Parts: sequence; C-alpha cells; structure tokens
Amino acid sequence: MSEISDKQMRRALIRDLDLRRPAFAAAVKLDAQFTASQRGERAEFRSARDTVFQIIRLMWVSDAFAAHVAYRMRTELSRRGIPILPRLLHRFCMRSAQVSIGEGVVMQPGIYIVHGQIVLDGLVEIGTGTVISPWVTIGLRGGSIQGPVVGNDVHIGTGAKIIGPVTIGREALIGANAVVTRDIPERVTAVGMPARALE
Amino acid sequence: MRDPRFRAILEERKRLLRETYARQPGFTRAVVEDLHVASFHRGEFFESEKASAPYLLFRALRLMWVGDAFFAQVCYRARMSMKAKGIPILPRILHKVSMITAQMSIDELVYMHPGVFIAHGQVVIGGATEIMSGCFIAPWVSIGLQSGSVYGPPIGHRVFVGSGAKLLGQLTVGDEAVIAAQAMVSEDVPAGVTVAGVPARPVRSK
Repeated sequence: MSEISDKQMRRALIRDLDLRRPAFAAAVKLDAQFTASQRGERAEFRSARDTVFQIIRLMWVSDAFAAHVAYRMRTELSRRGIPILPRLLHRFCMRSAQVSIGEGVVMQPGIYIVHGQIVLDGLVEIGTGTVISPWVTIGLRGGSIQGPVVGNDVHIGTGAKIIGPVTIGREALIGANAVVTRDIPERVTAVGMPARALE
Repeated sequence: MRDPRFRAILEERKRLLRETYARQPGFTRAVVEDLHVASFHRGEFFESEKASAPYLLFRALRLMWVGDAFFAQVCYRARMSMKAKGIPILPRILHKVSMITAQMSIDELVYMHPGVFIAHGQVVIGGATEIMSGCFIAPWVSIGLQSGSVYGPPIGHRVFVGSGAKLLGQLTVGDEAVIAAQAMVSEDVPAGVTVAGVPARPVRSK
C-alpha cells in the first residue's frame, strides 16, 4: 500500500516539476540569446529565421550549446509522455559535452553552460542569467533529495561544488573550486573550502 | 547590439588567433614530441630521435589505443594544423571528437608547445596562453581566463598540474612548479615552487 502511494507521490512530483519547466521554443531562444551575449556576440535576433540560424550556429561553434538544446528537448518530450527518446537525448548530452542533468532539475530559460562538464541532480532550481563553468557539481548531500536553489544572475566558477539544500542569492559569485554547503546571500562572492563570503 | 565591452575583446581575439595560427608547430613534429613525453611519463621510455618512422607510427597508434587521452590530443594537433592552413569545418568536427573521446576542450587561442602530456583527458584550456613542453596535466583541470580578458595563464616548462587544479586569470607559472590537486591558483607561481589550497599558497620550494 505504502509503495503505491510512494509511486503516486513521485508521479505528482514529476508532474509538478514538468509544470514549472519552461516551454521548449521560448527557453531555447532565451538560452541562445544569453549564450550569444556571454560570448560577446550579437544577442538580439532579428526574426524567427535569424533565431533558428543563430541557434544552429551556436550549436556548431559553442562547446555545450548542442547539449543544452538536447536537454531542453528532453524535458519537453518527457513532459509530453514520450518514452525512450528523452533517455537517448540524455545520453547525447553526456556524450557531446558531459552535461548530466537529473530529472528533478528545473532550469529557467536563459542559462549559459560554458564548456559543459557539469553534473546537476536532485530537486534543484537554477535561475535565469546563471553562468555555469566546467567541472561544476550542483547536487545532493546524503539523506535528502532537496538540492540547491540558485537565484538569478549567479556566476558559478570552474570546479565549484554546491551541495545540499542551500540557497544561493541572486547575483552571487561562487569562486573557482569553492565547496558551498551553506546559504550564500545576494551579491556576495563566496570562495574556499568550505565556502566563505568575501567582503 | 553587440556589447561594446566585448567588441575590443573580440578584435583582440581575432588578432591573437592569427598570431597563434602563424606559429603552430608542424603536426608530425608535435605528435612525435607528445608521444615522446607521454611515453616518458608512462614509464615506456624510448629514444624517439633514433627511432624509424614506421616504429614511431606504431608507437603512436599503440598509445592512441592504450592511452586515455592521446587520441584526443592527436585530434587536437590535427585540428590546429588544419586551422593554420585555413581548412573549414573539419577542425570543428575534430574538436567535437576530442570532447567526446576524452572530454578535452582546448581553445584555438591556446599555443601548446610540442611535448605536453595530458594524463586522462578531462581538461578545459582557454584564452591566449602558452603551455611549454614537458608539462603534465592531470584530469579535471581548468586553465583559463577570467571574464573581461582574452589572456590566460602561461605555464612554464615541466610544470605538474595536479588533479582538479584550476588556474585562472593573467598569472604566470614558472618552470618546474607543482600545482597540487584541487588548488585554485589566482596569483603568480615562481619557478620550482609547490602551491596548494584554495586560494593556493606556496607550501614548498626547491
């Protein structure tokens, strides 16, 4: 009996997460614009055709953008209840840019994954305007499935690990190789192992 | 509109790219040197100067098969020499191949001298930097730039970069320095010094 209710809970949770995820086309457009602006390229797309062209161009020139689009496609397909394909797209993400994003992750539109090589898992929420550098882990601490909540415009440095149910305030900077296990307030730079706020 | 902040950086990047392509080492020479250094680090020393071409080819193919990252490194070398010759499309595919096979993402601005050993792959190297010969680069390493600049950190001869180390910004690493595992280096490292920690501090010097 309890097992069935667990299953129902899980389904309800996944449904809830699906509802919070952005729609595919809008999300990819914002991701492309943010990626282009972070790469120092033209970030305003002139028309629908230009948007498609820019997205394809970014998939070619950027290390991780193809994987990023595949991830968006995957969440869209799993929301529609399509089997197998989401898993294949996940494999593609892992193969092409070593981007491994779990099913509990809600990525708001407009995120820049610099080169790939990231692991995101658990009930994680990533805000708009976040930059995720290589070798970053945003994940779980044992005993809980609640992961970090990362605010808008956060910059996560290379090799940083954010673990456990912590909240990162908006516009915070996480330094390279920082290990964050506590909440970080807004607009604060956190560095070190364990991460501490700089003045 | 383009962000004016980035315009100057992009212009500089273009200029530096031309310079980097102009002085790329020849493909064969680079691969032979890489093979030599990799074999030395793997404890399979042989004298590459005296070896015949078929033997070198055999050693290179063998290392591509048994080594984790050597195939990706050869792809990188091929990509850079193609870029220098102005061949389109293929370099990008070779870049994707080296990312898929060994998670190696090395920017086109990087000038890797012939004879660098990348132990298992899993490295991200970006920015206008120079990596001298004899360096050892362990997995999960980032050698890169801070936002607002195209210059990365130049690495000296025979530097050991430990697993998970991050070297960011415009700093220099002297010859025969040792960067310990998980170190976050944001200041210059003098020659022969061992640095460790976040942020990295000197712990030992020769």
